[in-house]
Amino acid sequence: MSRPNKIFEIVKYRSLLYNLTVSELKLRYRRSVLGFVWTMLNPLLMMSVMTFVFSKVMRFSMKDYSVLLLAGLLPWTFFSQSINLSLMSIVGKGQLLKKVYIPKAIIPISAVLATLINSSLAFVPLLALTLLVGHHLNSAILFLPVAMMILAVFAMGWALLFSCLYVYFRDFGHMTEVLLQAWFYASPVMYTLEMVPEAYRSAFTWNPVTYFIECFRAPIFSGQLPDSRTIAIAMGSAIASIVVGLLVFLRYENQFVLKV
Amino acid sequence: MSIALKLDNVSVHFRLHYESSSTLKEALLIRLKNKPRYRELWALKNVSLDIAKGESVGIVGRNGSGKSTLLKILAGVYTPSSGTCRVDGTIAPLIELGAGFNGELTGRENVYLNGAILGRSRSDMDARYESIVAFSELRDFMDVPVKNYSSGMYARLGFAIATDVEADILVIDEILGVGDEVFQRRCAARIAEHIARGGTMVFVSHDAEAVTKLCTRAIVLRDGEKVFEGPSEAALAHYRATYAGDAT
Repeated sequence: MSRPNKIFEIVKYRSLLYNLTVSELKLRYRRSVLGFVWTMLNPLLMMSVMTFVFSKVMRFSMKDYSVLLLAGLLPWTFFSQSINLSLMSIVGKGQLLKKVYIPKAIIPISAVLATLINSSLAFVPLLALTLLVGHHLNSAILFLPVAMMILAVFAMGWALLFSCLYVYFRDFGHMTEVLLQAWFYASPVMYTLEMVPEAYRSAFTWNPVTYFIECFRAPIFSGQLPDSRTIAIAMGSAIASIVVGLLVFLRYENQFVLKV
Repeated sequence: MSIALKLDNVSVHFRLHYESSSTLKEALLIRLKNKPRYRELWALKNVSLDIAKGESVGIVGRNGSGKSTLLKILAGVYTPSSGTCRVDGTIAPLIELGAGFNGELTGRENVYLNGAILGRSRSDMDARYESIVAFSELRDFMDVPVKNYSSGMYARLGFAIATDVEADILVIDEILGVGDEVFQRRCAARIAEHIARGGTMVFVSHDAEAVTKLCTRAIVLRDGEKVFEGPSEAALAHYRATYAGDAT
C-alpha cells in the first residue's frame, strides 16, 4: 500500500482511534471512587504542593515563580507522558496485531490523544491556582488551545518513532527513562532562558521543547502572545517531527507483527 | 466473474530465532559473532490462488502446513515476503473469536471497539447493536466486563459481531467448534446466509464434512506448498491419500 493510502486509511479508521482513546481514559479511572475527577484532582494536588513549596518554603526572589513553574510543567508533563504511554503501546497490543489487520499508527496516536485530553483538563486547576496566588490572567490565554494542538502534533511524531523503536529494541524502554529525565533538565521548565549564563544560552535554542514551553509561558506568566518566531519554530518542529515519525513508522509497521 | 481475492506467487518467510535478540547488546553481539542464530522457515512457498466473488473455498492440510499463515495473509495480518495479495472488498477475519476484546471493558463497549477494529463507524454499530446482542444471547451480560465471560460467551459475542458487520469476505479458521450444539447450528446458518447473500468465504478446517458441505472448491497445502486444487470432494480425497502416506 502506498504511503498516501496508508495515511488515508488512518482517517478511515477514525472510529477505532476514538474507541482506543476513550477506553484508555475509561480504564484508567474505572473502579476508582472519584473516577474522572482524578484528571483534575491529581494535577491540582501536585501543583498545590509545588506552589506551596516555591512560594512559601523556598521563597525564590522571583515574583510568582510558582506560576512560571506550573506553566512550564504542564506542557512538559503532557509531552513526557505521551511518550511514556505510547512507548510500549505497540508491543502491548501485540495479541491484537497478530489476529486482525488495523492501521498500526492509530495505537500510539490514540495514546497521545488520551494524554492530550487529560492534560487539557489539567488547565482548570492550573488557572485556578494561578489566580489564587494573585497572578493576573488576560485574554492571551486564549492562545493555549492552539499551543496544545501544536504540541500534540510534535508529541505524536515522537510517539510514533519511540513506539516503533521499542518494537525492535526493548532496551529502548530503559533508555527513554534516562533520555526524558535529561531532556527535562535541559529544557527551561524549572528555570527561564534568562537565568542561563549567556555563554551556554545558544545551546538551549537548539532544543525544540524550549519554544513549546514559551508558547505556554508567555500567555500564562507574561500575559502576552508568544512572539511569531517562537510560534514558527514550534510549528516547524511539530511538522518535522510528525513527518519523520510517520515515515519511519510506516516503513517498518508491516514487520511489527513478527516482532511483538 | 470478478475476483474477490487474488494471491499471486505468495511466499512467506519467517526467521525462527533460537534465542531472540530483542536487546541492543544481543543484536550487536550476533552481528559480531557472525553466526546464524535463526532457522529459515518458508511458511508458504509460491502459492497462487484466485477466489471469485461469491465463492466458498476450503483450505485443508496438516498442522504446520501453512493454513493459518495463508489466512493471515488474506486478512492482512502478515505481508507476503514475496508475491502479491489483492483483496477486493471488506474482510471479517474469524481467526480467533473475540480477538481485540479488551477484558476490562464491558460487552457493550467491546461491541463498539470490535466494530471499530473491523473498520466500522460508531453510527453503523449503533444500528447493528440490537441484532448483535440478540444473536449472541448475552443481553443480560452486556454491562459486565468480558473478562468475566465464559469462553463460550466470549466466542459467541465475537462471532455475532464479526458476522453481523456483513463483510464481503469471511475468513474462518477452525472456529465452528465453539459454543453448544444449538449455537453451532445457528453459526452454520449464519454462514449459509452469508453465502446465499453472495458473500465470499475462505474456510480452514480439519472437519472434512464441514468443508464438503460449505465449500465448492478446496486446496490442499503441504509444507507451505499448494499440492492440489479442485472440487472439495477431490481435494479431501487427495488429502486423505497423502495423509495415509504420512501415517505409515
